[in-house]
Amino acid sequence: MQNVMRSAAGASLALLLATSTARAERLFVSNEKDNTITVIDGTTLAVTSTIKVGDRPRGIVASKDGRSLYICTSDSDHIEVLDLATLTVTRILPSGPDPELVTLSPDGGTLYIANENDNMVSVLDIAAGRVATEIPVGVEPEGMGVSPDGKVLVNTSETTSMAHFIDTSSKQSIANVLVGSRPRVARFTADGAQVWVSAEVGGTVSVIDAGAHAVTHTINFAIPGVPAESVQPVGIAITPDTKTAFVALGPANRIAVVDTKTYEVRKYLLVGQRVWNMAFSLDGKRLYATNGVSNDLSVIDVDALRVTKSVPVGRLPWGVVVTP
Amino acid sequence: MKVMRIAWLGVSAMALGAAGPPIDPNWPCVQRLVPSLTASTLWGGHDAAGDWRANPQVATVVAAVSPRGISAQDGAARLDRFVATVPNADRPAQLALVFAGLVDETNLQRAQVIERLRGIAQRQRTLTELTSRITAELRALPVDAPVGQREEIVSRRAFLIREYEDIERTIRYACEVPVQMEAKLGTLAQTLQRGLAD
Repeated sequence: MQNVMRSAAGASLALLLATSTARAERLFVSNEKDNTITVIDGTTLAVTSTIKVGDRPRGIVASKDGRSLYICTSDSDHIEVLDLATLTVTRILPSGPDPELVTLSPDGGTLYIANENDNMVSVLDIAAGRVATEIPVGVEPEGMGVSPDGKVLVNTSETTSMAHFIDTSSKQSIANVLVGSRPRVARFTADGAQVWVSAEVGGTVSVIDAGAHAVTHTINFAIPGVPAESVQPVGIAITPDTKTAFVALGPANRIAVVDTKTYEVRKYLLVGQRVWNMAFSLDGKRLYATNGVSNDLSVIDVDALRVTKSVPVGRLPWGVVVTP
Repeated sequence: MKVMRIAWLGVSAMALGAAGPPIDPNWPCVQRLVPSLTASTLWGGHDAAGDWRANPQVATVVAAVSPRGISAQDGAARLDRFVATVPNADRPAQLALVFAGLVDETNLQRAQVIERLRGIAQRQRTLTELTSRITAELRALPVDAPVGQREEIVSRRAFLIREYEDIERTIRYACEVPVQMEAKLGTLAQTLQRGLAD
């Protein structure tokens, strides 16, 4: 009997460990006003560390091997590399002035950095630790997305309201596509067929055919009782099966759930204040969203389309990244 | 470092009529102007029915919580005490009424701040125009103009630029004021929502 109990206890422990291994992910949130990165345990959703970094951390992205976090410390005018094993900044990379947002090439070797103040995208060779090329782009570059095959970079220009398609080998412009006013985020679908671009002032999302370089759909958002000026689309997250897109609507305090076949908004989820950027958990079952005014992270159950939790983080949370 | 030159198509977004509303030239903040807040922006509860001012208990708690000098934390504590006095069955209607009052009062305070920010933007535009005018005056000055006259114009121009730069430095912080008001309202909304869930 004792053996049975012992083996049952062993099995429970094994199950617990297996579960914990499967979910042993961590969340990293950049806090623009506190100059910190908040580390959250993906299982318990408890804050486990707060790390001091350079001034005004905004765009963040994890390395392909999940061992490092690249942080745009905008007012320090460089990229900091946070070692995720020791949680210390181990390397400083050049970035050009005022790096706001960063995108990693699919092979993990190149960082594309938007330099808002000098109308450039800096192309950083991570291994060499140097800016290999600067690409002049539209006025006030903002959002950036790289195609899944790494061949095309899309950069949005805040002032000219355009999405610029750039060939990553030749660094030459392929096409300029007019989108809504003040475009903020450009996101390729997993199959590379479309690019979704949010427009903060225009209040829309443009869906661009990535081959034809033409807007095929414009998604509008209307929330009963919420002023149109409050609807400011920024973050876009598309499920890996490409069936559903989530669009963060800024000070409307809502995330729109969009059916990617019909382009209809299925639901608006009430989250924290000024919802900005989002990331999925590794199993795709949760969506995490940063709320820049209420200083928290909303946790959304993707299947139930329900907000399940708010996790307090630092002041002015900007980006969120999930790593194994 | 190699700088790649790209032949941009040179298409003006204005010429093509980029989608989106016009930007208010007298709004100095990076954040887009949201002229007034609504309950639905923050509130997942019932719609308020009736005038919150007509209910003395509601009017009292709104007056106690909404002043700018009351922090979000103190306001939330005061709301918690109020919620405890409201029977569960009355909470959906009563708390919606309180929130409607808080939104109205916040909008009044916020409108004043927005007006002041607009004034700052107007002053900056005036300073820009004056600086341009003095710069033109300086350029038009004959090469043999008296040194004193040139120095006087240069000094006037420097004074204007200094004022412009001083204001510019404070704008980022001034623009935070409406945001802080929204943050307080958000905290109060959450406090009332918790009262609904109790």
